[in-house]
Amino acid sequence: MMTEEVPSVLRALAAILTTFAAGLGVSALVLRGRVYAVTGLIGMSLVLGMAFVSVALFLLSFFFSGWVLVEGLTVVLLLLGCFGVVHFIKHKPVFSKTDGGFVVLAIIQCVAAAWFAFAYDLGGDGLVNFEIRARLMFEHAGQIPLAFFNDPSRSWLHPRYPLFIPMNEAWFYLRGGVVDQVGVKWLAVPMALAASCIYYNGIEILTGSKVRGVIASAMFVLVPGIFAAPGGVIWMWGDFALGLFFLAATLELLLFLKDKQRSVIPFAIYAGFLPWVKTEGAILGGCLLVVHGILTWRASLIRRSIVAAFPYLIVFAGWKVFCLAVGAKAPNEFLPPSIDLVAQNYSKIFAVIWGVLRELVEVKRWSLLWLLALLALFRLSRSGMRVQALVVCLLIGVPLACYCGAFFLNPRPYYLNALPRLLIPLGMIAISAIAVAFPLREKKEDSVVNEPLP
Amino acid sequence: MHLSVDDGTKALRSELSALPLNEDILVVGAQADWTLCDVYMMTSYLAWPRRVWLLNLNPINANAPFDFPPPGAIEPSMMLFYDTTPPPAPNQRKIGDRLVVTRIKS
Repeated sequence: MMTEEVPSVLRALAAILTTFAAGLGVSALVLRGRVYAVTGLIGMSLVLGMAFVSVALFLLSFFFSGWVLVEGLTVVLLLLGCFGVVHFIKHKPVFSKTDGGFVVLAIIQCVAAAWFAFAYDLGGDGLVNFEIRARLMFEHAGQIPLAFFNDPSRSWLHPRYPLFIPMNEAWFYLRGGVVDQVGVKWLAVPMALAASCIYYNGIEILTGSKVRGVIASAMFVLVPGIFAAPGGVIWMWGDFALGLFFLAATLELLLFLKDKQRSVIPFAIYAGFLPWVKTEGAILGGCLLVVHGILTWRASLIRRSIVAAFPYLIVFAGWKVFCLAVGAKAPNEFLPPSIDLVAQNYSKIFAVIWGVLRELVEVKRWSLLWLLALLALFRLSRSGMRVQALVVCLLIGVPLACYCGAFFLNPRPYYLNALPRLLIPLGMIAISAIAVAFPLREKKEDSVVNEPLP
Repeated sequence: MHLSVDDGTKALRSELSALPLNEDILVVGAQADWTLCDVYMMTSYLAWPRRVWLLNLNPINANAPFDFPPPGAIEPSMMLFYDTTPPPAPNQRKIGDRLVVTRIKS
């Protein structure tokens, strides 16, 4: 067991490497022998590793505690890692020399993420909405006290918030043997790295251009709202993690448009985990599945659509059942929707829309992201990627409309405060559109295109 | 930060840890900004599993955005007065310039 004397970077390495090992094993199961690029594999392994650790720790904590839980889970993660290594020795992932530029960029991004992460503390939301669950879990030998979820004096702590971030933080505490609200921010580094790799690999496969992949992976660091502003990757508040899953699922969806034989499993897993990351993940996941359903219906691949919905339904229903079972109650923050309410407050509709538009042009937070996204979508719709442009439009527009509805029903005077953070996952999709539509004179490069499943 | 003293959180935690676990704590203030809310949230964070409530003497508006009063009558074993003059009481301790901790039950 580690102690406080061990530097936080070593404790973080223990947590991150075991998480990555698990992700490697899960990726091997998901890819089932497909050839994949090293960069994409790293991104996928980090994301799936964090997803696996969060679920495994949550479920195992009902049956085990203390060192049995920590060491037992470590063994499971390492065994998965061994399986992954053996699998990928057999099915070697591809690394091209031209990926060197991206590697340099990714290293710079990791350093920047660490530097900025430690320049700020966890912040109020980071502590009371996420970290407190990890701390309580650590203080109760790895078992989150169920009384936390129905404590009437803490219902403002959103007891129904899902546990993706708290469980990953708890794994850092449990594996490291100490509660460390500063050191836990090391977890921002694998998240930044995962985003960078997913952008690079996804955009490269989508467009056949490594340059566009580099543009996408460089851009998210340059948008303050996604990187450094509250809720960005360096804060560990869940919004960026949500964006990570949403981005990965969206890219899988766009790749499905290019290759109808593409496996549905990665998409299903990424979309399925969205409700486990944050509450609004249910909206994002729902939008993804509806769009996916329409596309598969058009391609007469209904079975694929049903398979895709399974993980989402299991995660969504599972968490709801848990909340019901433990009596997790949140204060009712929304007014019941009715025609009378709309008639009485119709001026608020304009206030909400005006607030959203003002936020989208907030240069300090978003730079020119949304303007460029608009131009990019226009350009894509004029080129051969009309359907892709429509998909991105829907995946940005429908969640935004849902959020506007929620703002309208929220009677609090500060109802728009959460908007910048809600825009993070949507902004991450917008970056993909910009990178794909970016005007470049390029010769077609050889890209590592994932092989379809046999 | 809002307590204007070094190690304010440590001092607050030490006060809270002296209380039995199944007690109520009431934070009282009249701030027209988020600082009272921050102090309440920090108290709630540190005091688990004790129940912590917030009584904001200001009406809720855009500047005084949050309160969380108990749903019914409670007998708090400790009251924390943030930037508010508390009534005189024997067991009082100041943490920084702005927070007064009053132990009601010994």
